[in-house]
Amino acid sequence: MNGLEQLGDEELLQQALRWQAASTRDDCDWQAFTDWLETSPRHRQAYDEIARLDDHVARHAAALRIAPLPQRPPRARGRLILAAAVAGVALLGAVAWRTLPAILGQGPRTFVAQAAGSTLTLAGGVKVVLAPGSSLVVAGRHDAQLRLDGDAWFEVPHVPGRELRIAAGDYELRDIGTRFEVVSDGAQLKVAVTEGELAVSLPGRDEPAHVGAGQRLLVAGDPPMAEYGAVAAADVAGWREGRLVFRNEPLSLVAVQLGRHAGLTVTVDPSVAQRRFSGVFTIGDGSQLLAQLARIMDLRAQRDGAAVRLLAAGTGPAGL
Amino acid sequence: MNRDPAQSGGVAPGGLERLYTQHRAQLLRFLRARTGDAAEAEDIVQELWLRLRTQHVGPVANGRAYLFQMANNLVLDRVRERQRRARRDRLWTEAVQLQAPAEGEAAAPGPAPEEALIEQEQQRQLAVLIAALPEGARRAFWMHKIEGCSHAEVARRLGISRSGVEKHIAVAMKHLRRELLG
Repeated sequence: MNGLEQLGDEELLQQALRWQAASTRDDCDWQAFTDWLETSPRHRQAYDEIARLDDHVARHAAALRIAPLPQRPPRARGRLILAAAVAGVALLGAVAWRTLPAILGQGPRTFVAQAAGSTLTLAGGVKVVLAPGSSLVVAGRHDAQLRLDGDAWFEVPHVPGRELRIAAGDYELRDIGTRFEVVSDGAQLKVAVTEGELAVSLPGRDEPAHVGAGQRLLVAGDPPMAEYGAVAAADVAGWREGRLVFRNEPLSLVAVQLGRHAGLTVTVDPSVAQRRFSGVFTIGDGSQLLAQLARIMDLRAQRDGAAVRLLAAGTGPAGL
Repeated sequence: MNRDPAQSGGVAPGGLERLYTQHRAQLLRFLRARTGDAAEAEDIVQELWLRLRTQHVGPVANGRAYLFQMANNLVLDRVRERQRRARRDRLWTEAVQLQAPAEGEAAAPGPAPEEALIEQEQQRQLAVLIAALPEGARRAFWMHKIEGCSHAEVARRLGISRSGVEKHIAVAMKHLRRELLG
């Protein structure tokens, strides 16, 4: 078509992009744009594709802004450490944990939750309730450097000049005064805030994700993706009152939470890990939780000592 | 980016209808060129008129630009609506097919919110595609399309020329077009 003035694909794309950018501005020459579109059906098609792509990206931009970039597998760890080195702060924190406490007379302390959970009060009136099977390392001046492994509820009074930092799996939370729950499991994370606002650093991102009161940030999947949702205060860290409330959470994250209350290490087969679950459990002695989940979600639980693997029903060897 | 030019100053309410009458022929010509379909162009220009009559539009800085942008957005609305309908039809067909062989299993979770799942899947796919872009293209594309920085701002942050930014964005769009539109 239109062989004489056939543009190369590259040039055509450039022109289409330029018109796409121009069409959003008030000074766009619509007459010239119309002329360009009329020149060849290829022009129309190129512009139409660019406009559709642009629309597609624009619709997801807000969600993508807060999502951690999927990492290129071989570099993931290195990049994280590099980022920490550049920031200087996290690395200093790590060094401080090993050497400075001796000088300051305040070593890092590790707290491991009892079966029924534990309540800790740290410097500056920070209250932490640790869920069963979870642990917390406390270090730094004013107890401001924390590392959480598991689930916990935090009540952090605002103290001018103090910023609490909580390392949780692959992520870091910064808080200057809030109430929130954190569920952490490596690359998976749930943060639910009932008061105030906190910032979550995501690998490969300059800007942290902010989570405000009534909001929930979930990071799950492979590659990990983030999503915001709403949360009711009464449902946050419900385990403090003996129940667990889930709203549209991936099975992989539900399973580790139930596992902690059952005293078991739970893994989920990738084929079902991202299925979503909503529901409420009464914890009791914790022994029935996984069986209930398996029943509701049509799963099969394979047990090996203290380890349980959840699979789609009808897969895996029989008789376990 | 700026989907709502109705910001400040300029054309008084009601003035847009006059401008529409004045520019109707040009709008129609633009829409024909944009859609390649004379009948659809007529439909859209009618829809534009209806919206101007029924929707309250605040003061507009540049009435003519506003009308053309609105017309251009209506074209995209229709594309989006067609895609949604096609998807719904497909899901419906799949749902009907899935129901037949299922055994009488109890307590299956309620019907999945398909649209939300599709949104999530699209978001995931887009994130993976963006992560796979060449480094320079990825950074420029991210700042411009996701963070909403202007070309000039991206050029400043990356320390390159504006035409360098345009080239990076073009590379990114080319990759995405190949992956998403085949």
